[in-house]
Amino acid sequence: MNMLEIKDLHVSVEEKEILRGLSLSVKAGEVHAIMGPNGSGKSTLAQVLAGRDDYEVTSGSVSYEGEDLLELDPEERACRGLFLAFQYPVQIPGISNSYFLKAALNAQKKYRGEPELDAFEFSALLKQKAKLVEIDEALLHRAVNEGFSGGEKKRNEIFQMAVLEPKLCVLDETDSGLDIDALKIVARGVNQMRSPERAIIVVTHYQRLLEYIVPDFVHVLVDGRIAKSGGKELALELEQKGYADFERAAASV
Amino acid sequence: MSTQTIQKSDFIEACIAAGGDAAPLPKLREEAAAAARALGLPHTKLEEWRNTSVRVLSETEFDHRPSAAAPSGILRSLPMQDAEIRLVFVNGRLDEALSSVPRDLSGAYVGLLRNAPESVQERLLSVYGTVADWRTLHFVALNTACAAECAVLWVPTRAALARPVHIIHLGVSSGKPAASHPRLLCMLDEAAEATVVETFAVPGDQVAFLNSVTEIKVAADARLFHSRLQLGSEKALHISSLQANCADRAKVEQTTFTYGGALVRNDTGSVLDGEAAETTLNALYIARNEQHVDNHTTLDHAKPNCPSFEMYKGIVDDKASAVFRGRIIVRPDAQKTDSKQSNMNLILSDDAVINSKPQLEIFADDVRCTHGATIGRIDDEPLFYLRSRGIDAKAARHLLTFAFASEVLDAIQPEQLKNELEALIFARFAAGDTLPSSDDLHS
Amino acid sequence: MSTDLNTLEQAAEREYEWGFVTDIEQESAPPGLDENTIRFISAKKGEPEWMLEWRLEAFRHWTKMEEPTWQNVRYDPIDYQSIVYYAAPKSMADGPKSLDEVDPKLLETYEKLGIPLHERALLAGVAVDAVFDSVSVATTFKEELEKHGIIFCSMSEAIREHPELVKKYLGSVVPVTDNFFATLNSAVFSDGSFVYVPKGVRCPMELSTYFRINAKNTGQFERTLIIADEGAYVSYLEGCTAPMRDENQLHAAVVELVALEGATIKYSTVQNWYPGDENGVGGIYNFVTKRGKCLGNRSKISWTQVETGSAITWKYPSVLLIGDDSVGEFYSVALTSLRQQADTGTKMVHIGKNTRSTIVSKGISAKFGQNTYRGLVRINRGATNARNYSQCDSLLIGDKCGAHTFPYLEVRNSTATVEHEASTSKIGEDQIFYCNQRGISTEDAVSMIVNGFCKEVFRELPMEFAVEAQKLLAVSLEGSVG
Repeated sequence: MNMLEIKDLHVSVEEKEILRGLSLSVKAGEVHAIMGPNGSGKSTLAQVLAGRDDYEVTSGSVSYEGEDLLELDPEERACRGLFLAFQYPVQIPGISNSYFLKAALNAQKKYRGEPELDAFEFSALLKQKAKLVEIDEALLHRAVNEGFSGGEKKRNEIFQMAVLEPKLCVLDETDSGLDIDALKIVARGVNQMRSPERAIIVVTHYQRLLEYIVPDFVHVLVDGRIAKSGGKELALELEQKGYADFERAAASV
Repeated sequence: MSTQTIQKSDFIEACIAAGGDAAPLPKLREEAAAAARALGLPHTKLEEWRNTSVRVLSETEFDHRPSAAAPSGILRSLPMQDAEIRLVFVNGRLDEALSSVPRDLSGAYVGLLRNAPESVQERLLSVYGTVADWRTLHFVALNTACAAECAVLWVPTRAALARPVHIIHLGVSSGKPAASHPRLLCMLDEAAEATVVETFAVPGDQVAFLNSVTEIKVAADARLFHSRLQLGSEKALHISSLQANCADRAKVEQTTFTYGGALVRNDTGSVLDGEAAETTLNALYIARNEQHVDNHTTLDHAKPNCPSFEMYKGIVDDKASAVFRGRIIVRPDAQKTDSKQSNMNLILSDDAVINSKPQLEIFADDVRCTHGATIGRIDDEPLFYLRSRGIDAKAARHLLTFAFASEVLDAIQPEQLKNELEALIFARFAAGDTLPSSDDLHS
Repeated sequence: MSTDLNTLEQAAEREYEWGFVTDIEQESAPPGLDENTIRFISAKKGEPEWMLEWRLEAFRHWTKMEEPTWQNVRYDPIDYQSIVYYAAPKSMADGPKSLDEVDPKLLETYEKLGIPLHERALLAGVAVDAVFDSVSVATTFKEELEKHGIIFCSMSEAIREHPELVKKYLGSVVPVTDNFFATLNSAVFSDGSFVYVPKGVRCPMELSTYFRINAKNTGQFERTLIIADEGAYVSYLEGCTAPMRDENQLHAAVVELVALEGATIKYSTVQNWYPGDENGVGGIYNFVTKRGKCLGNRSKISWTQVETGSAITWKYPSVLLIGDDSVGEFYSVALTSLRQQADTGTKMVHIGKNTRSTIVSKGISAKFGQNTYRGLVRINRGATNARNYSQCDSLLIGDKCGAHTFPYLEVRNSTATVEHEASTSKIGEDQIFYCNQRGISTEDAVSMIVNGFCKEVFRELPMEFAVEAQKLLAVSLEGSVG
């Protein structure tokens, strides 16, 4: 069974149609890359999957583990294992990163009927995961994303992903604003999370990230639809030829 | 003359008649009494009192010579209960049994003004009544005329009091509501350092009136942390005036935490009276039911190169109301002033009322002044972020309300007080949700 | 260092280009104010009885009122009995039928001010109502506008020709008893413009009124009423100048705007009354009440003002947001130099649901100028989902001037979002130096920086006005740098 099944999805933002019939199937264990030019709808897809209000699904369906994902609240989606690494993580002054994560983790565990972690277990878990994404422990005690550099914010997203251990990870332009060293660290973190039970969708503009997170499938998103799908070699092709051909093809449809 | 005016003067006469026998400087006391009589009680036609009515004072029959003792165990309900340096006043009079002043205070003096060592006393008396303006401020005049005692913290040159000083003012009624006029004078000599917590509390749901004045005089290079806590009964009447005067490079960091009180009016100000002096005024006010909290602040930049920071935050629920008026004045000489002010309010109910009035009055050109004010709900953006991590909408809202509040407490000293106040607001806003406990915040 | 910012302090030796006097035979009321003065004005204008009654009622109320003192401005008491309340060029008394009959001296005056009234030289796309002291001299493009059903005429004419509209809306936004100066205006108002844009009509050109005070000792009390019916759109501009005179002159206008469902009114002002000289002698007291009512759902009123003139300015163009989803905007540049004082801002009163307001205020103070922003944002209890954003920035040039910001935020609805930001700063030496290093003179740099500072407001002005406003600002700041 597919973990995620998107069929003919149409989405509008403020009455402007952004996604125009997008279909995509993702199985557990797979890594999918969604590439596309600016404005093609990449981020919209990521936001819709996470359940952002401002996006109106006008037709089509999304099923996740056999259930209608669109019917679920954002927190229910998270509790069932869907994780979005935000392109622009918001700052939350006054709440420490570690407290925030503990609240999230225990909410998810409670939802799934699993025992919650006590302070010691949680602290041990944080330490272990912090090492995994090479995040400075001092960052854990600062307010969520407040005063973080661009790179720190992105690493923090991956760190949260590591702690929450989701089933479906959606990475929205996680590479933007990262220098090459930070990019490698983030990619290492993501790669360590690859497993047969977990699916990963990497949304990106550039092929660069895919050198480090090698996808099983690459999809080219143009004008709200997937214009072409293929293996990892498709990313290289894009790198050389750019999006122009696809855009022309889409325009002529 | 209308009956109302007669009642007003009745209130002031009753205060004056009862108070002040042990107060210092009899001549000053008389002048202040004359000023208090002339000023009367403020009315809402005055710009400064537009949103706050004190009619309740003339309409309530107060006990002006309250003799009630502190309820047993009262200290245990307060933060910083075990502070080793502690003065406890009940209705304006020192309760020696509840107080504690260790011998070794690195040369500093904590106690009553009238018991201060002679050499120091003289200097204290020369400052007393010169920092807070009793000539024009109604309640400072009344306090100066009526204060039964004056608590004092004095720290000599280059001394540092490592432990926090806790001054507790209790308003305790038996029968008629008690009225009292607590007073504190903090004087730090050059390069001295101290941390003071001043608590105003009324037990249970008693009605009591506390009209306090805090004067702070900080010499060059000295540094003072001051916290004012207004706790306990939601029926209490708190009127509190705090005024600081900072010399060259002196630094005052003041935080006000308002939680109790039916009527709360705080006038808080600092004159940056020396070059490169610095003042921070922060506050967190949390009001529900029909509580009314009014904060008036003034940061008066009189000399060049002075930074000032102000963050006032409020959470207002039910039929409660909050008022903020923050003046920043930059005098013609005060070049290179850098002043930042913000007033942020969370409004939780349609019956709640918030009035915010930031004010910049600038007479120098080489300055950087900013102010911001917001009134609104919890933002959708962080709410979605929390929900996307699996926290349900209600808990997320509560957590963000707590986060909103806790930002103010970050700067509070000592650490212990910060933790205790955080626990208090955590219990109010986030307890019972699917959230970890407040203890985890600091793990 | 090449940037000597001390020269900034030699602020604003401005040349007031519009300070000439038109030598013309006047007909005026004797100075002073009583019921006879009002009867005189009303009779001069051939008004119906109901209008006279309306004025008299206002006057009787006014005699019981006190002049307000809460503004952050200082001036010597005004002697209301020494003011001339009505003055008009004698030639206008005969009621010229067409432009050809209008006294050439008047036309010349407007020519000199850059407002040609002859059809052949008209400003493209702008219809003008020219008001000289107490009377309207001419209104251009009237026939063109009539084709669309748009009424654009002087207030005097509207009272005679369109009494049903005037009766319905005059005083409906600014009540006769509103405030001291508005009530005075209601009693003695002379001329002003009247605009009615019918249902669904988008006014094809900018409408504008050009006010000129010429006569000595005369107050100008114009009254403007603009009604945009359902779905209508109109953009209206107002310009003002006066001769240089040593005594202060009072200008107490009232402007009322009514926007019905889906209608939009854009009202722009470039106010350049004579500001007085560097010692604070002379200049106009500009005490104006401007208010708009967004009566219908989805209606919009937008005020834009560039205030560079007047000795004292005291005005708060406001919007009552009554209809659901209605929008109020206020964009302002206020410059005070010499000894000018300005206390200006806006009121946004949110009454309907989903109402939005935006306030952008830019204050510039130079020399001894005192500039105050005063604004009220009130969210009433029923105004669900109301939003306001305010931004008030002040720029100081020289160390003898002042900038003051007094916003009042009053919120009584939990779904409201109100944000206010303010900043005060000076022109940075590093900015000037950078410009100098690239070859730009200090004066041009200041002008550039000030224009950049005001950009968000200028953007809201119609093209011709935006250019004029920039020039005006540059002239006003001339000499503020060495």
